Order: sequence, then C-alpha cells, then structure tokens
Amino acid sequence: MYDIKALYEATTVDEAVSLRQEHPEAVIIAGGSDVLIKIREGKLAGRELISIYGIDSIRGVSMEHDGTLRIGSLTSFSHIVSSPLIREHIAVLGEAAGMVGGPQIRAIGTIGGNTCNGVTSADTASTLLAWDAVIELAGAEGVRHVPIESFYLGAGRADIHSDEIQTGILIRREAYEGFSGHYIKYGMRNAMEIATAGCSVNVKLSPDGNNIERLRIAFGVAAPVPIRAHKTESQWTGKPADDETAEGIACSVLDDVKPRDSWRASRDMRLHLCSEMAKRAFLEAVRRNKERRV
Amino acid sequence: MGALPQLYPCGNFEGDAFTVFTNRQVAGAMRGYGMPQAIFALESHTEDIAVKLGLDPVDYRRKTVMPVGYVDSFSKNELYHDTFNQTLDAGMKYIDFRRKQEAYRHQTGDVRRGVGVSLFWYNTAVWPIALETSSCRMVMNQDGSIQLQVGETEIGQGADTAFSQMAAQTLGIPFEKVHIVSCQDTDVTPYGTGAYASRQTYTAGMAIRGCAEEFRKHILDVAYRYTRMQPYLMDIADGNIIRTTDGRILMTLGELALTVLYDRERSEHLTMEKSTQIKTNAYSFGCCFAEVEVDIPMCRVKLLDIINVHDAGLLINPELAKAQVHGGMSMGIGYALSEKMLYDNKTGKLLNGNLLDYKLSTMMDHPHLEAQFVENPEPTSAYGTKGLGEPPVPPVAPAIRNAILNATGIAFNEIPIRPHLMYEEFMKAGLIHGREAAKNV
Repeated sequence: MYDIKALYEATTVDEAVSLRQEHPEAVIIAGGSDVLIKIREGKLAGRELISIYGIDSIRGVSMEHDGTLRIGSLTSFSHIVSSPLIREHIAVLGEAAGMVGGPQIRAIGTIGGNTCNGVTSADTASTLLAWDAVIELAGAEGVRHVPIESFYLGAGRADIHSDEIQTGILIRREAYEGFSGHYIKYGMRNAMEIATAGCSVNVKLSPDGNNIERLRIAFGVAAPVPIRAHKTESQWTGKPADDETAEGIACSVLDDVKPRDSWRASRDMRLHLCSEMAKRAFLEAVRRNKERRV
Repeated sequence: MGALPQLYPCGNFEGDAFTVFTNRQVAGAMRGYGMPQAIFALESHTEDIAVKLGLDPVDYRRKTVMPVGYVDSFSKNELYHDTFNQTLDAGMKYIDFRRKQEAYRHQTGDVRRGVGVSLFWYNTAVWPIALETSSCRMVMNQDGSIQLQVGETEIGQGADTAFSQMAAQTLGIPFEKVHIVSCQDTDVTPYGTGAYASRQTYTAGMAIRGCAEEFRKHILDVAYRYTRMQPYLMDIADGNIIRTTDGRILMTLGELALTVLYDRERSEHLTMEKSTQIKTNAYSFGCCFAEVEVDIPMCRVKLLDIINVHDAGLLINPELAKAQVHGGMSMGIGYALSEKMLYDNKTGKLLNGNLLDYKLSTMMDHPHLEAQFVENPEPTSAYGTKGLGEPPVPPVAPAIRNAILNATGIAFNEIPIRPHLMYEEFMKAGLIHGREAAKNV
C-alpha cells in the first residue's frame, strides 16, 4: 500500500542531521499525516524516509528563561490545544490548532510539519506568522534562526537546508506580551476541512485601551504562502480601536492580499472574505484585549 | 413528473419530460433517487407561490395538499389518514413555528434567522411499475430456535433486526430464538428483489408473515401426533405448544423438534419456505421543518434546528426507525448545503473526486436531528408498516432552502446552497457589495 524505499529512524537531533547528510534525497517524516498521503497518491512513492518522530527532545511546549515560548516541532495539534502555556500566552494558536482536520489528525499531526510543508492553508501558519514566530533549525553547522515570514519561500517550499531539520518554533516575549488575537478559518464545513481562506489578527492596545499600539494581521490562502498585511498594519497603528477603524481595515487589506481564482473559490469571493474576516478578527481581538485588562 | 400533481392534486396538469445526455460522471442510485430532486423543485415552487400571494406557507399547504381518501388511479395507493395535518402539527409544535415566524419578520442586519417547511410523499416498493416479489425460509433447530433467511438484505439499516422481530411475533417464539442469516448468497438465499424503493419491511414483511403462518400451521399439525390434541385447539406462544382451551403447556418447540427429527416411524426436519408476490403499494408521507441562521457577509448558513415527522405506518423498531431518519436527514443536509460534483469547464474532468473536496456534512455541521413519528397503521401491510428507508431525505433540502428564503428574501433555485452560490446571489440582490464597494468606504 505504501511504496517506501527505506526508513531511517532518528532518536536525537544529531542523528537526524547525520542521516540528512548521508541520505540527501530522503524525505523527512514526522507524524506522517501529509507525507504518507502523498506516498499513497504516488507523489512521493519509492522514496527514502527519515523519521524524526522519535526525537522526544523536540516535543512539547516550554518557557525559556528570557520568556521566549518554545514549541518543539514535534508537538501535536492536540497537545497545543491543551497546553496551559499556550492558553495563557497565545490562546489563539490553540484555537487555530483545534480547527485542524479531525481528532485523529490533530493527535498525529505536528506543528513542525504544518509549517515545513509550506502550505498556505495550514491552520497554524497564519497565526504563527501573525505572532512573529521564529523558526529554529539544526544542521551540521549548528543552529539557525529564521523569522517565519522569510522561512516560506514559495508554495510548498520552505527554507530548510539539506542537512537541517526544524527543531522548534519560538515566540519571543515582546511578540506575545500584552497581545490578544483571533483566528477565523473559512471552510465549507466545520470539521475535516482545509481552509478556503483564513485570517489571524492580534492587537496590543494603548494603556488606556483606546488606541492600537501594535496591530498584526496575517492571511492564509490569500497568496501562495501565508502573508502579512504590512501596509494595513502600519496604516492603522496608533488609530482608535473602534468600528470605524475596523471598516478601514476591511478596505485596506484588499491592497495587501493577492488571492487567486481556483475551482475551490473565485478571486472576488476570496477578496470579499478576506475583507470581512479581517474586520471581524480585528474586532474580536480588540474585545479580547480589552477584556484581558479588566 | 408524477410527484407534482400527486402531492397537490390538480386536474389541469400538463408536463413534458425529456432525457438529457451529458459527458459528466455516470449517475448511480442514491437514497431516494428522483424524489429529492422532484420534492426540492415542487416544495420550493410551492413556497414561492405562498410568498408571492402573501399566504402562510403552512396554511397554504394544508389547503392544497392531497386530501384524505385520495386514491392514485395508477398505483391504487390511498391516503387513509389525516397524515399531513398530523405531521405538520407535530413539526410546528417542536420547532415553535408560529412564534419564530413572527420573531423573524422584518429583520435587518448581517445575521438573520429563518424557518422553513417542506412536505413530501413517497411510494413504498415499485408495484405496479415493476414486479415485486419476496421469499422467506424458516428452518427449525432441535432447541426450538429457527434459522431465518430472506432475500432482502441488511445494509446497515437494521433490516435483520426488524425481520427477526416479525418472525418471532408471528411464529410465537422469543426474539432470541430467531437466528437470521445476515450474509446473503444468491446460491442459497431465497429470492428477493433487493434493498431499494424503501420496500423491505413492507415486502419482506409479507413473505415472513406468509411463511411464518404456514410454518405455524405445519408445526401444530406435527404436534398433533405427539399431543393427540386437534391442531385448532393448539397455538405456539413463547416457544411452547399450548392448549388454547386452558392455556396448558403441552410441550416446548425444542421437544417437538427433537422428537420429530428422531421419530423412527415419521422422521421429519421442520422447515418452511414461501415465495410471495406483492401486488400492492403504500404511500409514505411526512414533513420537515428547519431553522437556519444566515451570516450574510460571510455567505454562510448555520442549521440551528431540524425535525422530520414521518408517517411510516406502525414502527417495528422505533429506535432503529429513528436512526434511519437521522441518516436520511444527514444526507439531506449535505444535499442542501454542501455536496456538489465540480467539473473542469474545459475538459469535463471531475475535480473533487475525493472525500476531502466533495463535502459530505460532518457531525460538526449538524444540529440535533429530531425524528418524530405519527403511527397510522397501513391497511395493506402485513405488519402495518410502510416505507421509511428513503423518505427522510427528500423534504430536508427544500425545508432548508425555504428557511433561507424566510431569513434573507432570496429564493434559491439550485442546490447545494454553498457559500459560492450565496456570494453570487447576495451580490446580485445588493445584500453584500464585494470588494469594489468596500474600497470606496
């Protein structure tokens, strides 16, 4: 059923790096919820696999001394959903992880895989992008850190060198402290679904709660890779956190997004949805940020 | 075609039917085939008439629907009971129709709610369009239990349980003493025409009852040899041969089966097989009420509540009957809102031939599915039953469509009512303005 040439299993990061050097053509497999399907469809048939699923050191959510939130690349979606650290500091990531597929996929799928596959519709990707996550990679030459926005090279392509594996996703204290966010997944049904469009917004309001101190907006399926709405973010930073601004954001994101026509949805419909989702996600993020201050 | 003048009888009906060949996916049988389509068209149209004339959709249907005593000249099917009013009453009560109808008048804003109704009619089995036949075999074991075989197949609907209940009831043995042969093999199974047209409890019921009554008579004739009691003074109850005049247990069926099998003079294996041709058919009726919430800018429908009320005659197994209805409602929800085969316009290639892109509705897309019944016994049926396999599907899509109409004023004339279709229709109606207008704010 599965056409696999060879399977090499690593239990440490060093072993994985050595295996990557020894078998440069091999495909990395973690939970397998993407790779195994591709093998069965014939797309990755007959390939060698390097399994990193047994590297327990890169599994789990922890807090570093400087307040950086570290999510090991092998952490499953269901683990993220129930993590107390995620709930406290970046609750929206748990909510986004909870919208992936169904319970079985969430139990086996990993957040590392969700980013390394370079897919624009990945549910956690737009939220990680919206929170300025940093990707940690380990290779023969040591550890490398890449901002998630430059980690995505193009549809299905990520910045991973041939000797590297992704080991963690870091969210620095200044990127999450004082922020509240909201993610909207737009799908055709409420489970077992890949997003037709997605929008993750987070805000940090001024001390009096009236103005936007920081605003970050990211979209999935609005371009070949997950994107940030930089123009909109800078245009509305410092403005009042109110309905009028929400309407303004709804308009200005149209200059940031570049959705395409596909048989899954038309460009016009996606533009309309991006606009509406940005408005709603912004208003909900503001509401949550205000609520947090009470 | 026949659906239209039958549900709302009309003396002046003219229709043209024609077949269209396409280069699309080959069509196969799907639950209720023909009827979900016809009922969607008919009940959408009926709703539009009521709305246009300013009439209440339920009252209008009550006035124009098939009256009690109506007989279809072709099938000879008859509406024996006040089924439509009874099922409508039950549905309205559950969904709180009148109060919601009032509450949802004159809504404005992005998110609006609506309630909708649809009736349906259905036939049980295919007589007189085609032949209907069913056969049953009963073989008694030496402990008084039986092997039951019918050609009608268990396909997950619980048919085997219902057949066993029927056999136990007519033969007079406990349910646990019926061992049904679940796996059908045409080399050894008595002939039945299959699991289609919501026919099995109706048609196999006739074969089972016919077989069980003859078997019972035969068993009592055999029992005479050992009890010396006239067959008409005996009966089978709870697995025993009893004397009806005083209720005394004369012997158990197990004792009888064992005794006759090893009788050195007249050894006999107790068995009966009977084939039955069915030359009647029965109407199955009911309604569906749906309540929706439409998020207009997001082009999304949320189904808030839904109820199907069926008159499927007497129910053999009420829990299985409910499950049957739940499954049909679920398929109706997918049919109404999400299931669509998408084709490449240039090549005609199917684009979504997988269960990710072909959107069956999931548990997360369903509200509680309420199934209720009005049990009017069907006079032509061996056990008072009539069709319930397919009838749960047809009324669901038009009820949801009519609820969306009630919420938004948009009368959709195609399904599934996917976000893509809502986007187009809401744009046309000016309910949303798309990106160009947004830019002008």
